[in-house]
Amino acid sequence: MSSLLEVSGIKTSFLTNKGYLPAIEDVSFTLDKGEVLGIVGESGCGKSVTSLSVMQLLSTNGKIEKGSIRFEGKDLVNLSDSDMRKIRGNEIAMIFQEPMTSLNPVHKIGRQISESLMLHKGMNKSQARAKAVDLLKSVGIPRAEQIVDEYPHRLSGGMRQRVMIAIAMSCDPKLLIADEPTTALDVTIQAQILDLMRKIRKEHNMAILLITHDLGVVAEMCDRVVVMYAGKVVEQGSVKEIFRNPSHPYTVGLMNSIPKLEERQARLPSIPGNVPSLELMPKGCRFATRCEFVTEKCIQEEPTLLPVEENHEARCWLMKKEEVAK
Amino acid sequence: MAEVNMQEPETPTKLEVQLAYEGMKESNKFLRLLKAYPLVFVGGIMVLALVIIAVFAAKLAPFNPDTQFPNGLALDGAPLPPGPIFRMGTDDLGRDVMSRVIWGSQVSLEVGLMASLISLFIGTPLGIISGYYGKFVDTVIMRITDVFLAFPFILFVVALVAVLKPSVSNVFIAIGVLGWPLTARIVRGQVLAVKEFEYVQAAKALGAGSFRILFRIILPNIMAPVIVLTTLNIGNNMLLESVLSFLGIGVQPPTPSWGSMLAEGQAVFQYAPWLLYYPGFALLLAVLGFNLLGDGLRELFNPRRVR
Amino acid sequence: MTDALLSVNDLKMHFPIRKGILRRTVGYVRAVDGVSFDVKAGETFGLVGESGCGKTTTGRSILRLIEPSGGQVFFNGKNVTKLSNVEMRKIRSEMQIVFQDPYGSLNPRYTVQQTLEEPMIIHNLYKSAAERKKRAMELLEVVGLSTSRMNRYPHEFSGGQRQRIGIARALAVNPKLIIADEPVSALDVSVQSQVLNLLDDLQKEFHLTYVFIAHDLSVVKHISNRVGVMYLGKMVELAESDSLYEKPLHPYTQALLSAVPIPNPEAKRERIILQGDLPSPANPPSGCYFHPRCQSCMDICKTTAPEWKEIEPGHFAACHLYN
Ligand SMILES: Nc1ncnc2c1ncn2[C@@H]1O[C@H](COP(=O)(O)OP(=O)(O)OP(=O)(O)O)[C@@H](O)[C@H]1O
Ligand SMILES: Nc1ncnc2c1ncn2[C@@H]1O[C@H](COP(=O)(O)OP(=O)(O)OP(=O)(O)O)[C@@H](O)[C@H]1O
Ligand code: SF4
Ligand code: SF4
Ligand SMILES: [Mg+2]
Ligand SMILES: [Mg+2]
Repeated sequence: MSSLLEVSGIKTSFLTNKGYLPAIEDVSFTLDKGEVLGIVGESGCGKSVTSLSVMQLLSTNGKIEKGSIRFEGKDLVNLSDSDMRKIRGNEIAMIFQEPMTSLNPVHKIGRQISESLMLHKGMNKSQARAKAVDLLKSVGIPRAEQIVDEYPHRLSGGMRQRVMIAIAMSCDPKLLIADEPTTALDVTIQAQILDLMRKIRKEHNMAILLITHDLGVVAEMCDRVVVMYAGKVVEQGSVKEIFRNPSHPYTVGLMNSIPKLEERQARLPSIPGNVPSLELMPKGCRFATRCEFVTEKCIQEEPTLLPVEENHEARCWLMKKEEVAK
Repeated sequence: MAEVNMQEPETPTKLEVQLAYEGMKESNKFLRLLKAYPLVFVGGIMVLALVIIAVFAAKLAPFNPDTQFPNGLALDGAPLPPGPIFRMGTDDLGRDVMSRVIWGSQVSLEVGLMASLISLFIGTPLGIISGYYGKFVDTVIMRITDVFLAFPFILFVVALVAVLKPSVSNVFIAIGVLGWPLTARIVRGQVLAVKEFEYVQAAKALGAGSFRILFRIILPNIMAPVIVLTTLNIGNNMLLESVLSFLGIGVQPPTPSWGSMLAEGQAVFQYAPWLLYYPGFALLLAVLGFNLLGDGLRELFNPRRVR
Repeated sequence: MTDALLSVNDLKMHFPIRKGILRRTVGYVRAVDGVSFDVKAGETFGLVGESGCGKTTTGRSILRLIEPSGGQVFFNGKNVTKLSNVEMRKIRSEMQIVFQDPYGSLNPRYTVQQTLEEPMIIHNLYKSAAERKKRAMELLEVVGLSTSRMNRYPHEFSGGQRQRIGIARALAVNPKLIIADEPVSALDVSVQSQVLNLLDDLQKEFHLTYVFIAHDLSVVKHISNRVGVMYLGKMVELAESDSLYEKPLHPYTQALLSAVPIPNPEAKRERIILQGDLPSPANPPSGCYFHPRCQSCMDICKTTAPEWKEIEPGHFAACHLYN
């Protein structure tokens, strides 16, 4: 069976005053039906650009220069605007990081939910409203009958994110893209939202593309992970393998540098330096400026994704050496 | 200490690239600015021209502006149209219009500048105090500005000039003194925004006194909008001066002022239209220059600008 | 006052809520509502809690960046809340603060050098400009930044580097106490650990005392000796960091700990998922502020506020379960 979503080799660039600068390059991954795929990485590494590319929602100064994005076999990159609109919100839904700004402040909650129901499912007003109440109940909003008639500013951050999820779920999408859905929320509220997403996924057998910078969230939610660094996928594989055997030096550093709740560490291992900026990308391995294993080869030549184990690959020359040594 | 020192993330390659990049930036900066903000330059050149004309009026004017030339009037006593000697013609007293327009720039600029400076010097401290201290002081100052802004400005100025006796300095004092509330309000708004920044809190935490916080930290950070406002004000105040002079309560004859020239020219507009054209055009260009410059500066100072 | 460097006693900060043109006070936001704790010299005291529970307000009212509406703060035996403005400015060199937002906390119009020299000028620490410059360079080295970029402006630095500059500025006056208000929350994970390590090193080198504010429990646990947990303007639990994490007593602390996602896909554990949202501090619930969300809520909790008690040696909590 072919995958639900198949992203292969996409490169997305933005027009800046220094010309087109690629924000992500050579990004490939697949997502099966009902699977949860995590994309992790630090701020600016291109997680949001990846998700917006899939949704074809890039701002006007951005464009996909290379690669294809296949959703159930259809290539989204070449789809017309009107065809894409039929997929958006209907088959692929998206929720954003900022629950404060992603709801329209001038419309009541109910209207915002029923809009897509009327658009995609051809429901009439009263059907849509009844469904909206059901949806609000299903995402755990108390007093759903009253909340449908509230404006967004009356709700807390966690409630708004629930409403966003309700809107996303309204057309029973096959794929939900969640771009840092809990980053703006407190831990106890985050736990509620993650719990809700788990429940929904199970009930609807929906695939989720979960974007986050929190490895803890990845470990709890995802089946597979894509680790991104400076616009490229540096490692991908199943969650268990990546946590058991992180192979790219960046992934290793990232995992070591988070303080652990359950043990006491005298000193945190840390990755020196900063992420290189878009216009000053090193020509070889993009992690070379911060990597402790850097060699001449790394500076000269960029590694490709090399296999580590089955279904686990890393973009690092060290993987090659291991193969040779074997 | 050595252990504390953590690696500075500067690899030679990155640094080199950066330096090369910045070198490029320096040399092209001016051109890039010019391309991105033509307004600043157009306005700037107009303003500069005005300043040069005003400063060198004595050198640039072909004649004394107040001399009533016997040959400056036609035989029937009518003013002369632009010609080879009086290039912008003469007025009905036989004075050279070109010289008067050139000298008139001095009055315009003086009033525009001084009035704006007076508003600035009254409005800025009051605005800062109002915004920074808040509470009672703020309420009092803001209510006063409300009162000022609620009255028709021009009537106020007319009344004040009438009381003070019309003269160049009284005109700018009147305009300046009555113009402060707008400055104060804008400054206050800026202070309220800047005050919330943590670097202001940080200075306070370091033990900086109020004076230092207000004038060394907040003031420089609100300078940009204040400069823009003052620039725009100069243009507006020049216009106001002309209006006052036109109404006869501004600069008094024989001092040449564009406003009074317009007033004088208006009577003879039918047969000597150049008496309106030249001072009117001069006023238009001067005010436009300051407005273009002000708007351009606003763009330039806009932190979210895209270059 | 025993060996405490900082002693906060029943600190309160109620912000008035004003309405209408007359700006009459119609109520209060009880941002900090009776918080007490001691910080010993040389230790790191962590303060955790969710957004809006009053951590920042606590930190700032200790330094009197905002005037607390009640309670006392003793620093080195002196009652800070009673000091005159002049005395207060003198004592500020001993208590410093590092801010959360590395973008907003540096004056965009000052170069790094000016930023670092400002505190020296304010407190008249060095006579000559040359001495100040030398000290500024020293400070940069201490926080691990290269001195070659002294004349640059903040926007030319990354978040982590700016945070280092902010730390260097706080160190410029040789403080005894630093209140670090979420110093790493705005930073990326890989940079976060650099700054945490730096804080740790500086503490050892200069015998600093920290009040470390954060909402990230793993970070607080890592850096602190003792931790206080806040909920809705009140302290609900306070203990040695290890015992707090191993044996949390207050139901809120238990929920908070169990909500932290653990970066280990094989770890399975019981999770307490709290119902409902954080109530507003303008209109807190009756009795125990936590009762509408508490799973162990009893009748008494709805009416009576629990007392702050030492339940085990060094382990305090405010909850009726331990009566
Ligand atoms: N509209 C745009 N115009 C120009 N550059 C952009 C635009 N959107 C994103 N970028 C650039 O693309 C890069 C990747 O951005 P992206 O938003 O995907 O990061 P991210 O991984 O989502 O980070 P975060 O965790 O901060 O959300 C960044 O360097 C950013 O500056
Ligand atoms: N100047 C103010 N006026 C009125 N209310 C305020 C003011 N400052 C803070 N508050 C309120 O006080 C409460 C506590 O705020 P505070 O900033 O101390 O929270 P915090 O614990 O630091 O949260 P965060 O984790 O979001 O930084 C909040 O409800 C806030 O809205
Ligand atoms: S390729 Fe080289 S520099 Fe890049 S991560 Fe691997 S070892 Fe490090
Ligand atoms: S006092 Fe009661 S409501 Fe409050 S935390 Fe304890 S058990 Fe829960
Ligand atoms: Mg993003
Ligand atoms: Mg805070």
